[in-house]
Amino acid sequence: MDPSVRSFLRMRDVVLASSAASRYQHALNRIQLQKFLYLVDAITFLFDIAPPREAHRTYKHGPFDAAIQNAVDCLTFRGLASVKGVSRQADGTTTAFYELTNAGKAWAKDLRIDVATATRWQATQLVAERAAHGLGWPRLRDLVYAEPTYVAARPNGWGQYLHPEDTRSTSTALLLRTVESLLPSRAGQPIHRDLLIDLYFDFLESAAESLRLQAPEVEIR
Amino acid sequence: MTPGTAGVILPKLTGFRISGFEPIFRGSIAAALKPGPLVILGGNGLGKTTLMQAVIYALTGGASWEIEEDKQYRWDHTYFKKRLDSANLASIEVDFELSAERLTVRRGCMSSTLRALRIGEEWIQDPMIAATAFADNLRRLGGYPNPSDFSFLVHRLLYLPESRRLLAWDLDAQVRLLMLLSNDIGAEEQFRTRRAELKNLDSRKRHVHVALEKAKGQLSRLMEFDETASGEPVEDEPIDGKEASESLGVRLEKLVDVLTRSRQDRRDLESQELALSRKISLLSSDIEQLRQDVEREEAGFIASSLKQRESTDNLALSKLLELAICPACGSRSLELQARAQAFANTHHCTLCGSDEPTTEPPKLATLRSRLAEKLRAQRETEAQLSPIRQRAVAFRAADMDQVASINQLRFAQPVVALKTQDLPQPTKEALVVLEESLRREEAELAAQQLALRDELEREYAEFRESASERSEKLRVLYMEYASAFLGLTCDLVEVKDGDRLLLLSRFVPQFNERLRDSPDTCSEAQRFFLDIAFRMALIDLASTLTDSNSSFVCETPENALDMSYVDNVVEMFSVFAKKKHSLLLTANIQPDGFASKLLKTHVPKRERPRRIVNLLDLGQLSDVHQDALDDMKAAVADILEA
Repeated sequence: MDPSVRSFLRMRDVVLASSAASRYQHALNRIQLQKFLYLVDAITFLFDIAPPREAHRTYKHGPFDAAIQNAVDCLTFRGLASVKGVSRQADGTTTAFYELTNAGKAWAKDLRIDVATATRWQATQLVAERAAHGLGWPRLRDLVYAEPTYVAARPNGWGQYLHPEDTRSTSTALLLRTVESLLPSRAGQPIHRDLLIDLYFDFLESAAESLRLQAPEVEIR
Repeated sequence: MTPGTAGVILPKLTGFRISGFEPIFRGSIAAALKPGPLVILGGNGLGKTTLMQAVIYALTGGASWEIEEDKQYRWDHTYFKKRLDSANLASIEVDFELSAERLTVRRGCMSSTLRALRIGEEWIQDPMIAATAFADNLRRLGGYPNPSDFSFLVHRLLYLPESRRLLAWDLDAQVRLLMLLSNDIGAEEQFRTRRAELKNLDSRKRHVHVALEKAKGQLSRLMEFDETASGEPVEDEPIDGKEASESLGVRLEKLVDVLTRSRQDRRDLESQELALSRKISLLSSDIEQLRQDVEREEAGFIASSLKQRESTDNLALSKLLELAICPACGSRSLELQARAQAFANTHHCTLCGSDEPTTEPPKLATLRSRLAEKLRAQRETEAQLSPIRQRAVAFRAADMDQVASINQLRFAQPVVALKTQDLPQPTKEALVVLEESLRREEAELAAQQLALRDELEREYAEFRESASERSEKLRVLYMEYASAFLGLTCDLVEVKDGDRLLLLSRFVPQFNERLRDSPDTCSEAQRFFLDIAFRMALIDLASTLTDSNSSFVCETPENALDMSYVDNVVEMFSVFAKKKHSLLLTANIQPDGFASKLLKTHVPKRERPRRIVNLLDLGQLSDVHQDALDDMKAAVADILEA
């Protein structure tokens, strides 16, 4: 994909994600942004819209899309986002939290006039709602680690493209389509969608828990 | 490319020499083939077909039983021998390249065996050594397991003869060719041998069935005789020690029957599964393309909205454009401003000048609506597929249970060998023993047949699955050729097909939203030219896989072509020629005919004399030809001079 196309699409996604998080008085950090958008992308197909193509890839700390961090940096430079709480960690990495400026918030509203962006906003809000109520923002990482596409691709090493929306291989989409096919058919599609999303997050939580139990205990000295 | 790593390597013809063909030709003929067309120009009876066939004959020795099941399509040296004054003087040499090695084969017309072989500059004149060396080189350079595979490939793919032996709807030929062209992922010869074994099992089963019916008939007549003789009906009494065994035979027969029916249901289900999966694949590729277009337009919309917001809130980049304030250091720079404005006005990034996406709102709305429609169609198809998949899984599990039960019964049965002395005696007991034995043998053969059938079908399905990426490439290539000919989109679709013994799959064309699953669903011209398109696509595919070029030898079916389609056919052949393949074609001499247009389109004027073999100069002209000679010469001159 053209880098500038990717960059603009991710600027939109970051603004929507930060706007949704800010409704719960939360600012997303670098890692949370990656995980948050991965989960949003995983469920967007339920809204008949598609996530950006060739975006997330397997990396050291779960799925990673370089365009997301580039988009945050662009937004900061352009004055639509601000960086808070920058700190350097013992392992040499830097952590920082991102918030929208007033201009950023206004732009998020501008964007939502567009129908497809408004639909994506719905998906973004659903993930934010689950992160804020119950799950907790730090648990986003565990959920992403339990996501079927990532679980299936992880053993193949770094750099593999992840397509959670592709129903032809092991993925979130395949899982949800299978569950959907078992539900009685209903004319009111949104009821199914909400139910599916609830079931999906329950599944991710259980899977994350079972992965946590399977992981070897690390001795803390 | 190393042979065998990605299928066989196709030969590329580079030239031929023919001598001793009097009275068909008036002298020797020689020509070189380069990328693009070489046209054999002639009229009726001037030897176009003979010349073309001689080239193929030299390469393969004709079409023997090893490559041609149908007797009417077999031919060899006798095709020429009968028509020549001195067949012993006739000689045909064909030059070709295989994996960058130059080879020349020479054959005579007294027998079909290879007379000599040249590898590079070295001639091997001893026919026995030449034949062995030819087989070795075909294997070493081209990856051909044996020479008959090479012959098959030449006859069924690279050569479209006057008899119009079509490939496009021929299941067996397609299976053999596809497996040969992908022999890196499937063992064609082994598969073919086991298919023959399946046929053999079926034939044995049918013989046993006939014998069984005969024994049943004899037994029933004998029983009737007993009844008539005693005047009382005869009870069906079990013969000592046979009851359990007979029950096994009958149970086995019933189980095989149940399995046969359930296999048929499973196959129907799998056909539906395949059709829906294919539909999803097609939808997915459309969706991918639409997603790309939508993303570009959406990025344009986002960029435009961002600019408006920056301008409203007078953010850093807006300050640069309007007030010349540098967003990095805050100083005022008119030069930077001018550059930024120039970039912004031409839809480039204000700072670095990279292309910035733009949008047209109506276009975005249309694309999104098309994408949503496709996504919905995909979801609906997936909803149809899901229960079918679940049922197929259940069927497969039941199938395994049934096979296990059959095997349990088969291996529990006592072995009863029929010896010569056991041959039927016209007694009731002997006939009962024979009937039971035949019944068991029939059930055993049916079980073996089912097992082998299942194994072969699964193996072929796995082969097709492994070659799915190649199939997609083939489809794209075919669409290019077939659509060029038809002037409308023509797709290539894989459909399940087979006979009562085996269900495999083959490719068929689809256009005007109709699947053309048999030749009679197309007109005569469509049949021929879609077959040519299919062959060209296969040649292209094989060439792409092995990074080489090849040749196509074609008796152009001009008589099936009206003038409105000539340009389309020329376009189709031009696409093939542009890919650096060589083409050996026949054509009638006529003004503005197919050959004339192809040569005028594809070959520069100075090159044209070397791109035709003019049979007016070489063939035996009849009185009719003599009468029209001036017109025919003028037509040839037109091709050369126009």
